[in-house]
Amino acid sequence: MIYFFWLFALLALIGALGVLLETHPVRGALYLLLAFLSIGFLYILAGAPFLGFVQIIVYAGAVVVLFLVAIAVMSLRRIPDDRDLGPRGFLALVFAGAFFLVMLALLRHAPVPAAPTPTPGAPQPLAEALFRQYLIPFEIVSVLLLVAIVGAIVLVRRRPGP
Amino acid sequence: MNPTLYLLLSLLLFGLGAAGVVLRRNTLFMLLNLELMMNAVGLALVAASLAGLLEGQLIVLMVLAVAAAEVAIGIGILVSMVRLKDSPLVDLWNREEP
Repeated sequence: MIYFFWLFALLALIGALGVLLETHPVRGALYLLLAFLSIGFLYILAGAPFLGFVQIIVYAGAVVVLFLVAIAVMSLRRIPDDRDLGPRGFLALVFAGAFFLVMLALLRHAPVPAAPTPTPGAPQPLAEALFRQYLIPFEIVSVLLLVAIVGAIVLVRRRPGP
Repeated sequence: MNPTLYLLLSLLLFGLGAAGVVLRRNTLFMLLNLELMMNAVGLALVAASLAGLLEGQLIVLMVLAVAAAEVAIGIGILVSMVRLKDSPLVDLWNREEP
């Protein structure tokens, strides 16, 4: 099990590095697909198989396809190297590194339970909690999705010329 | 499975995503890195549910739906801005029309 964890962790990090450094949009989206798939398998390894499959369907399926469709719609003729490697980019990297170190120090002092108890990762307890205790957030999120669909259509609609 | 390993991995992914958001000027890649950061947070929450909290997985489900909405709107804004300015680079978006 632990070997699978290291394998998928390595693949997720490779995907993240690819998204960070790649300049071609399609290859960047495919690196993101690699990271999403690895994180989905990590969910399954962590005892959350339902979330793992939802992650693979929604993120690795829908979101990456949406990005690829957007890249195709924009049909960028020239792809500039957009990595900011001047002093501004260096400063940004310094701040990102500082954030990483602060969070690492927090993690070292975080209270982690000594004996992790395996949660019921089956869909049934999740659904029980979602449809009984957390029903109102669920409904709000579904309204949000509807608003997002309508908003996306309104945003990219070509308006009739004057 | 050790939750600390999951938290460490999620921290690494979040740091890489944050570095990508501030390092890149192509808006498409900034959106990709934002998605990566959201996934890193989800991984941390699943690690919390590894320690016995079912709510972690529920929050990840909600974040997933919100992220799907965010991607739809974000790509809509991106496509209409690229139509307007003919480039995905944020530096060129900042310039006023002559």
